[in-house]
This record gives sequence, structure tokens and C-alpha cells, in this order.
Amino acid sequence: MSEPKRYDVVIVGAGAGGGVAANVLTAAGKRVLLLERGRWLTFAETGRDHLRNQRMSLYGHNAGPSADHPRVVEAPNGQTRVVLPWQDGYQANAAAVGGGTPVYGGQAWRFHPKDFRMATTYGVPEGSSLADWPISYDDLAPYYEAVEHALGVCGDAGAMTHLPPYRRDYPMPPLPLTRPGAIHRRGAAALGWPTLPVPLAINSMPFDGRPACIRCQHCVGFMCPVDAKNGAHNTFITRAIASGKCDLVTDAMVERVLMRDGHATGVSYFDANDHRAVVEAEVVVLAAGAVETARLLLHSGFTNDNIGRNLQGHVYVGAVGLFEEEVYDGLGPGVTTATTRWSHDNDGVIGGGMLADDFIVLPAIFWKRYLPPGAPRWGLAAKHWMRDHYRRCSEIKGPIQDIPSPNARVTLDPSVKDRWGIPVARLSGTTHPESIRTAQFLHAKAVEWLKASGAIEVWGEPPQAPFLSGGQHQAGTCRMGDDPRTSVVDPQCRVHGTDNLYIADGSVHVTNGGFNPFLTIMALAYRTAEGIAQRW
Amino acid sequence: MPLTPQQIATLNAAADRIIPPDDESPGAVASGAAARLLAMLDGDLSVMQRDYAAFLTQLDLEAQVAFGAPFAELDAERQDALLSTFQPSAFFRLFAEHVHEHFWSSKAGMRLVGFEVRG
Ligand SMILES: Cc1cc2nc3c(=O)[nH]c(=O)nc-3n(C[C@H](O)[C@H](O)[C@H](O)COP(=O)(O)OP(=O)(O)OC[C@H]3O[C@@H](n4cnc5c(N)ncnc54)[C@H](O)[C@@H]3O)c2cc1C
Ligand code: SF4
Repeated sequence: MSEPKRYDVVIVGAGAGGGVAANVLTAAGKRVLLLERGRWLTFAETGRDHLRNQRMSLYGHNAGPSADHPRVVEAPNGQTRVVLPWQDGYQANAAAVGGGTPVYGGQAWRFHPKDFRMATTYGVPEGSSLADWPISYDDLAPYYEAVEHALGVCGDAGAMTHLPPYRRDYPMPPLPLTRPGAIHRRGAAALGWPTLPVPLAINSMPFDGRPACIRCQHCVGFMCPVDAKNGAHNTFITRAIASGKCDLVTDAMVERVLMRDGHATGVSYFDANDHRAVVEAEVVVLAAGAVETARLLLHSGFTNDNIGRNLQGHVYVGAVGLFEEEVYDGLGPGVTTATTRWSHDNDGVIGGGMLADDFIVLPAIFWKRYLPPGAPRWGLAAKHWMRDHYRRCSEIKGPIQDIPSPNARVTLDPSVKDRWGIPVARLSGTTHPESIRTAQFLHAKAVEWLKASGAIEVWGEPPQAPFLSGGQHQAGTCRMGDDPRTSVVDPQCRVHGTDNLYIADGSVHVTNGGFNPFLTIMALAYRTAEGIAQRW
Repeated sequence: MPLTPQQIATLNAAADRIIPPDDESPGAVASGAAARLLAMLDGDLSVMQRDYAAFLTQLDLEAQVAFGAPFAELDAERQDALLSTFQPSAFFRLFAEHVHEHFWSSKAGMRLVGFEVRG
């Protein structure tokens, strides 16, 4: 092995959090190494396969991880099975330069102030690990703002009436309304529910040298044909590299954090040729996503029992409405209108969630996931059913705030290893049953909204029993807190018991809000990186 | 083992009853959906090749017993009548899903529902 290279900071994972950290740290003058197991993606390579994408991965997906990254899923009865990244139960997010962000939908939500105070607001239900964050909305607000402007988010700050007033409006106005969006705004108005344009990390006008969105039909799950969707890959990471202070190594599978007496000295990884390399650094930042960061810590010998617990994502609810007239207008991305009326203060349930209309649903996905019970499944009747209904349907859906359970957990599998010999993540447990009660509550609201919008028929059932939620919205496995007995990182996102090991991804979320999480992940990474730059 | 020519003929005929052609638009075969499913039986779905072979052979056998001809040579009405007897079977439902997946992701399927790719 050659002499290890030395950097000021090594960051594991070039995703949403890792990308922001790289940009903030290089801007502060640090020499940064960014290690990513995936690769740069291109539009041509990721394509538009309706059966193999990050929205529907029936036979594979388009943005990683590859089959080299299996996991083990443990059922409630203890039975286990090995799963590939596109198979049921894997809890996949994309793996590439940019992490999930090159193919995400870009819904750029700030969490609600009460999302940071869940235990104080609602109490802690039996068997749950519900807790307050050690920081507040106000602590994060300046970083939300910084990310909104550095990344490029379109929206209307004046409409975000569930939040304290913004200091600055979004850098771009919302995209023009669609036909279904207008219908749902009228429906909500009839109910007296306030609505707002969904903030999106999409250029509604030319921004930062890249063009405006051309309203294509393949947004979520795919890369943007004109590079108008803003992720870590085309903003923070390109800026970090342009600074000349950041080396990015792709196809780099990090194996371990190297520790000496509570001090991280660097990491070891396998390069594209499967050669093991060691890099040394003043500071190590983990940003491998909630499942893989926990796996890395466990494999590096960390024994804090909280590591890997409280895995959470979002239990999604949704319903499909059938309208008298055609509502489909083919204008992407499709999601336009939300209500935060049911995010909190709901009778008899804990928390709640945001509801919104949906991205354009591909016909194949519509067939697989949106048919009403009793629809014909073969023959001319089925073919004509699709012909006559596809353009008359519209969905309302949303993420409810998961009520975390300590038993929803990432551990190391005792026998299955990946091709580098690293034990794979084993996933077990489920979300707390209170999540399901809240989901049922929010589902009823989705149905009510669709009916008020004029739907003549509504279908889609809420979940009935707890399951493990994680997936694209995975978070919580290394939660933040003051007390090492109940948390993994301190309020600066430094791993308890270490002086220079930090986490900058969704793992540190104490709870995951009733909103899509990436903006919070980026805002926190911004804050964490700023703290590192000041301290080191 | 790859499917035999007869099994392939049966698959094509049955797929065209799952998504029949009509005046307005092609069915499973003309849209290319059946061909893509066949290709997948040598690829992503190769683990199912044997189950497919058994299902298709069974379908032909039932056709011979009931009507004295292989499935692919029956008229649409008889083909539908036979397929209806398979409707409760899990494998039939899986087969139908495979055909639908490939049809609704084909150009013809998208055009039929008015999903137009712009940009
Ligand atoms: C189709 C899709 C749609 C989405 N839509 C939205 C949305 O509209 N709004 C929203 O808020 N969120 C959305 N998300 C989720 C969003 O992308 C994630 O919340 C976010 O990317 C998570 O950030 P992270 O930093 O925690 O991890 P990631 O972005 O997942 O980054 C982790 C990176 O670490 C790498 N890595 C892991 N292990 C190793 C290792 N051992 N060595 C080296 N590298 C490693 C991974 O390959 C990955 O690139 C969507 C995701 C997808 C896939
Ligand atoms: S809808 Fe707009 S931002 Fe999304 S992929 Fe299409 S062109 Fe790009």
C-alpha cells in the first residue's frame, strides 16, 4: 500500500448532505476528498425506461445502487431474505454523484416548527422513541434560506403561512399552474383549506447558467433532459470541484472509519479496481445515507446501542379521484399544489402530514398502482378502461410524519457480506402503530379533498398495519441529542465520544417531519459543515 | 431451456387476448409488448422460463382437449373461453401483468391513453 494521502476533510458519500458539506468546506478553504461508491450519471445513460427507474423499479433501476450492494430483510417472524436494491423491502435510495438528487422530484420543503418539538407537543406514546430535536426551527431557518438560494428553489414564501415569515422569498417564482392543480385549488378553497405552491428545486426561469424547465413528463425518477432540476450534482458538488480544493473519487466503496482513542484518523475504501486504499484527514464526515452510515459506524466498531435504531422514512397515503372530464394536461413535473392544513393539531392523532397533487404518473405505473378494485384486468375491457380513464384521474397524496420506533433498525448481518467482504445491512422492525393511525386520518383528508375537487369516484386504501418505512426518505438511524445514552451525535452532529467524526445526512434527524426531507438534510449539512470549518 | 416455437406461438396468441388489437390500436403482439416479454424470458425473467414453458404447454393441452387444436389456431372467442378458465390461477395473473407492463410502456400503449412525450 502506498503512503496514505492527507486531506483536511474526507466526506463519505456525495449525496444531498455530502455535496453541501463539500461546497461549504471548500469555500472555507479546506482541502476535501469526496468518496462516492456510485458514478456521475448522464441523461442518456439513465434513460426513460418506464419499468426500470427510481419511481418504479420492477426489473432494476436507473441510478444505482448496483447488484453489488445487497441487504438482508428480517420479517417480524425472524425469517430473513437477501434482497437486491430494486427488490421489495430494500429501502433503496439512488447511489450516484448527487445521491438521490439527480433523479428526485425536488420537493423542497422546510420542516414545520412543531416537527422539531414532537415529544413536547404530543407526549411520547408507549413503545415509541418520539423525541424533540436539540435544535429548533429558528436554528435551522438561516440554513434553509442559504440552501434555497444556493440550490435554486421556486416557490412563494408568502404562501407558506404555516411557517414564521421568511427573510427572503424564494429565488424563483412557482411554475405555472396545471389543469389538475387549478381543480384542486378550487376544491381546497371550497373546503376552506389554505393551499400553497409546492416549493421545487426546479428552474421556473433560467437560473445559475442553466435553463428553465420545459415541462416534460418524466421528472421524478429520471434525470432532467435540459438540466433544469437542481440537485447536489449540478450545484454544490460542481462548485466544490471548481474551487480546485475538492477531489471526487467515484466507484469508491468506503469500508471503515479508522479510529484511534476517540479520534478519527481517516477512512479505508476500495477503489474502482477493488484495491484497498487509506486516506488520512483532520476530520471525517459521514454522509452515506441513513442505512449505510449506520452500517459503516457499526462495521467500524462503534458500540453505542442507538446506532441504527429509529429508522424512519414516511408512511405515504394517497387516493385517486376519477373526474367527469379529462384533467390530464401532460405538463410536468405535475406536482403544483399542497395543503399544510393537516400537518399538526389534528384531533386524536399524533402529528399529521402535508397533502399535495402528484407528479405525472406514467401509464405503466398507473396500471400497476392506481387501478380501482374491480377494474378489468385483461381483454378489450381492460385496454379500453385505461383508454377511457387515464386522463380523467388525478391523485392527492402525502407523507405523514412517522412516529419512530427503536425496533425499526439497521444492524450488521452476521453472515451475508458484499463482494468487498463487508457485512451487509440487515433491516428489521416496523414503524410505531401510531404512524398508521395518523396515516388513516390523513387518508380520509385526501379523499375529502378529491371529492371537493369534483371527483365522481375515489379509490385507494390507507395502510392497515405497521411496516418498515425508510426508502428514499430514510432518516433517523444516528439521531441527534445531548445525551449519548439516547442519541448518536451531539447538536453539532459530531458522533458522541469522538472529537472529529461528524455526520451530514438524513441519519441525524430525530424525527422526519411530515414533509419530504432533502431540504432539511441539506440545511443541516450546511450548518454542520460551517461548524466544522469554524472549529478545525 | 428456451421456449419452443410452439410455446412462443401460444404466448403470442395469448398475449393478444390479454391486450387484443382493435380498429384503433395494436394489441400485445403488434405493439412489441409480447416480443419484449419473450426477450425478458431470456434476461431479467429467465428464472421464470420453466414456469412459462409449463403454463404454455398446459394451455395448449387444454386447447387440444376442449377444441382439438393448439391454442394459437383457435378463434378469439375460444381462446378467451379457455383463458377464462385459467383466470383464478396466480400464474395467469402474473402473465397478464407482464403483458400489461410491456404494453403500457410501449409507444402504442402510451399513445392509446394520450400520454404524449414532449421534451
Ligand atoms: C426518485 C426519488 C424522488 C425523490 N423525491 C424527493 C423529493 O421530491 N423531495 C425530497 O425532499 N426528497 C426526495 N427524495 C429523497 C432525497 O433524494 C433524499 O432524501 C436525499 O438524497 C438523502 O440525502 P442523504 O445525504 O441522506 O443521502 P444520499 O443523497 O442518499 O447520499 C448518500 C450517498 O452516499 C453514497 N454511499 C453510501 N454508502 C457508501 C460507501 N460505503 N462508500 C461510498 N459512498 C457511499 C451513496 O451511493 C449515495 O450517493 C427522492 C429520492 C428519489 C430516489
Ligand atoms: S419536468 Fe422540468 S425539471 Fe422535471 S425533468 Fe422535466 S424538464 Fe426537467
